[in-house]
Amino acid sequence: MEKYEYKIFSMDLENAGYISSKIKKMLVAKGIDKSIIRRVAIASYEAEINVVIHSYGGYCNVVFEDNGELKLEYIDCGPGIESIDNAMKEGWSTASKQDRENGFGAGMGFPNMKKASDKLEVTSSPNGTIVTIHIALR
Amino acid sequence: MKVSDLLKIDCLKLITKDVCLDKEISDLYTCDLLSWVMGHVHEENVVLLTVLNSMNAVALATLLDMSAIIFCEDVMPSDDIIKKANEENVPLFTSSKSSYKSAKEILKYESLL
Repeated sequence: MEKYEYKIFSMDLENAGYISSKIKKMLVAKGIDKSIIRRVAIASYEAEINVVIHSYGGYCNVVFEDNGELKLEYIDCGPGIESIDNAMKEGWSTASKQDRENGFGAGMGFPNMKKASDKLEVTSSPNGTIVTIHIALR
Repeated sequence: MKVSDLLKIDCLKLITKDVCLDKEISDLYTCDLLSWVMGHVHEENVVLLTVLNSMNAVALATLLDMSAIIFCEDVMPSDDIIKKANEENVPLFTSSKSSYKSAKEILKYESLL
């Protein structure tokens, strides 16, 4: 098992996407299939952006499991998702006016994550949200 | 058609330096919502036409292996965005025309090749 941890800062739009591109570079270096890298890039970017624009900040664990699975855990410290069911719907967004001006708020975050991953787990409370993305790398 | 061919189109201007212009262009895609692009662009070497003046447009292009970004209607990205694009090897162009008209110009040029 190989594990890396990255911090994600709230509203740090300048660096949003940095961790996703780090993960992508790791997968390229490991010689993973391009179509799988693309799915990882989509899922990891959406999850990272959610922590940046919606949360008070958190971190991301990147875990390469021995069974060939990539596990990405995004853990933030609140304020939580009011309705996970709604968040999973295409077009649903709670992004602010400013977020929308920055090109966010399409309401495609979780739907994109779900499509791109083999398994997606979301638990949320006002104290924080944990999003876990599983993608088989081979 | 390659990214270098975009240099020959009047309304487009390259604003990055030292980036590779040798990439092929597979398609053009115009959109200003990041996650929409994420969910709908399914191939690599696409050129994004947008008015979204954001660092995240560069992140998106990197993650989706896009060939270039064209900022339309004279949207001028900040120096930080241009610097990031240079680092990540993403060619950036500005266009004096709208996304639609810029795409039309590119297609017109491509038909002559």
